[in-house]
Order: sequence, then structure tokens, then C-alpha cells
Amino acid sequence: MTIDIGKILNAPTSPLDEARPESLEDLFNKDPLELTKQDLERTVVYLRHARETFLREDAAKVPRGAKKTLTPVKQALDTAITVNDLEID
Amino acid sequence: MLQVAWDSTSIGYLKECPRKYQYMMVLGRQPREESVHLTFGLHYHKALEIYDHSRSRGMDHADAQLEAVRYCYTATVVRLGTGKAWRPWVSDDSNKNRFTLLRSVVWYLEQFEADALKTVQLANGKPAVELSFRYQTDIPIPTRSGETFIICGHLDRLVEMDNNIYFLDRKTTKHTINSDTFAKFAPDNQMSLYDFSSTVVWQTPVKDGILDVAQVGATFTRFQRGFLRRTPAMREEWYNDLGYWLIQAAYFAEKGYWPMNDKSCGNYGGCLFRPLCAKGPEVREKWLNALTVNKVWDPLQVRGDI
Repeated sequence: MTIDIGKILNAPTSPLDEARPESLEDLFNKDPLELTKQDLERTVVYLRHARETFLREDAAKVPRGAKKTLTPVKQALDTAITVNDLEID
Repeated sequence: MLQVAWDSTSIGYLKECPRKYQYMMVLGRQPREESVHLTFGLHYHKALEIYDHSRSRGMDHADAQLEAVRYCYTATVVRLGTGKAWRPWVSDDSNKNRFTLLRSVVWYLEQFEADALKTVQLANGKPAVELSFRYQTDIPIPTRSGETFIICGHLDRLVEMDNNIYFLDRKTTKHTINSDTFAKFAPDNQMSLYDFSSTVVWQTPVKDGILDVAQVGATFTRFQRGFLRRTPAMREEWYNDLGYWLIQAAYFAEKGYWPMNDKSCGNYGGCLFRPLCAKGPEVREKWLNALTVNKVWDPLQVRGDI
């Protein structure tokens, strides 16, 4: 089996791969007036990914003594809250 | 000097401690120490206001979100001189800094992208976002014949859901959000003033107040929405009480003396004026310049629309 080094090096990376913590730190060190639209989009992608990870891990946490019922990520992300969803008088 | 136009900040200080009110509002002094919570809160509100305005102008969610992100980056730096030099806003608070501000704004907008709440459009076609208001009360100014006090301030947003109008406010906290979080806002001076004023501004009672609380941690931001209800009788009670407070303020102003409420010194993590009040009254004036800076609060400053 031969490894195609060129193919690996030229493989397209996903936006999430681009948005590593280091790359966000890069943006924080940049003069904000020089930030491009791509920089801002990369910020959102990175933070969106971080949020999804947080929601997934948060939903997986089970209070001591409670029955384990995981909230699907899709459901956790669902935000269409109405008054009826809230416990109010 | 007697203040005629009162916003929730002024009223809050007066209720908390007349001496603190005197320092902040009458003398226009503020502690040298920057409140990271205040700075963070101001940027958080402004970024979301920019998003709301952009959306109301017809911009889609993604582009409006980028506008808010751009604000977070640019507003949290200090320009040094006229050149290109700059330095970032430095916060030693692991929960409230440039990164957690950016994260909180983006996560909020992700969570509430498909929000059931829609911003009210005013008769002039503008969105009811960061809505500055002022109106004359019927609370007489004791020392001025025929004149009455004014209430003023800024509403984050008026929103509509199921044909009902609500006022919406946003808060950030480091503490875990639970039922106690929302219970703390009943009663609450600021929320009662917003509720009362929303009714005056909209000329019909708002159904409720809506409070979006963000728990800002070092590694996450969690949101919870709660509803604040004031009955007509509660509104009336708050307004009547306000009359007593303002008449008391007029009395303090006339006497030129604002008493210290030493039961409030430890509230909210400790009053920032505590080091000053800890000095003896005979030397306090000398310490005033050393421990505080001049910063006049103008309750009538317009931020958005009236």
C-alpha cells in the first residue's frame, strides 16, 4: 500500500478544523479593524462548535440518583420557547 | 441640587443608600476601580442591540450575527493615540472577559435564532430596541410649585408574542440559574420601573416582562428565560412608593445632606464606595478625589428612539 503524501497535504479541511483554539487566539491578537468577514465567520463556526460540544456534554450529565435520560442534541438546540413551556402563574 | 428626571439607576442608588446616590448622581463621582461586571454587561447589551437593529433592517440572522461579533472584537480594545496602536480590554475575571463576551453573544444568538418573540415595530417604522423613554409623573416636586418629577430610561426591547406585548431585558450572572434567580426580580426596582414605563410608552398594559439570564462561566454560557409579572395593583404600589422616595430625596436635597445607609455596604459583593465611607467624615472630602473619578451620569441621555 502506498501513501499519497500530496493527496493528504492537499486534502480540503473542514471549517471546524480551521477553527482551532489557536486560530481564534490569532484573531484576538489581530487589530479588530483588520478583521475580515472570513475572520468573523470563522469565529462563529468555532464558537458554534464549542456550544454543540458543551450542550452534548451537559445533556449527558446525570444528577446523582436520577434516571439517565439523555436529551438529544437536536432537542437541546431547539429554542422555540413559549409561555406554556415555562412554569408561571 | 435636586434631580428632576429619574431613571432606574438613580432611583436604585437612592433606595440603596442616599450617600451612594449623592456620590454618584449629585457629585458625579465614581470609584476608580472599574466594575468588570458593568463593562461586560454594557458590551453584552450593545452587541445584542446591534443584532436586533440589523435584523429589524432586514438583515438575515447570519449577517446580523457577524455584526454583533464585529462589535465584540472592536469595542473591547483601547486605541492608543491616533496611530494604529491598540491594546485589548484587560479583565482579570476568568468569567467575564473578551473571549467570554464573544462566546456569550454568539451562543445567545444561536440559542434564540428561532425565537418566538418578535421585536415590536414602532409607528415611525423603527424597531422598539434600546428604546429611550421619558414621561411626566404626577408626583409633585415639593420645592417647585406646579412641577412634577420625570421618569426616564431605556428599554432593551419591546417584543410581541401571541398578540401580547412584553418588555425584554437581559442580565448576566456568574451564578447558577435557578428559580431563585427569577424570584429575586419580584419585587425589583428596575424591573418594576420597566414594567410601569412599558405600559406608559405602549399606552396599554404589557402582559409581562421577559428576562433572559445568561450564566457566564469560564468555559460555558448557559441561558434561561423567565417571565416577570406585575399586576395592576403591584404597579400602583410601586408608583406610590416611588412618590415617597422622591419626596424624601427632595428633603435630603433641601437639607444638603444625604444620610449613609450602613446596612447596604456589604451588598452585591461590597459597595465600591466603602473605602471612602470607611474614612472619617472630617477627612472624607480629601479622599474623594483620590479614591474616585469624575463621571457624570446623565439619565436623560438618549440611546435609541423616544
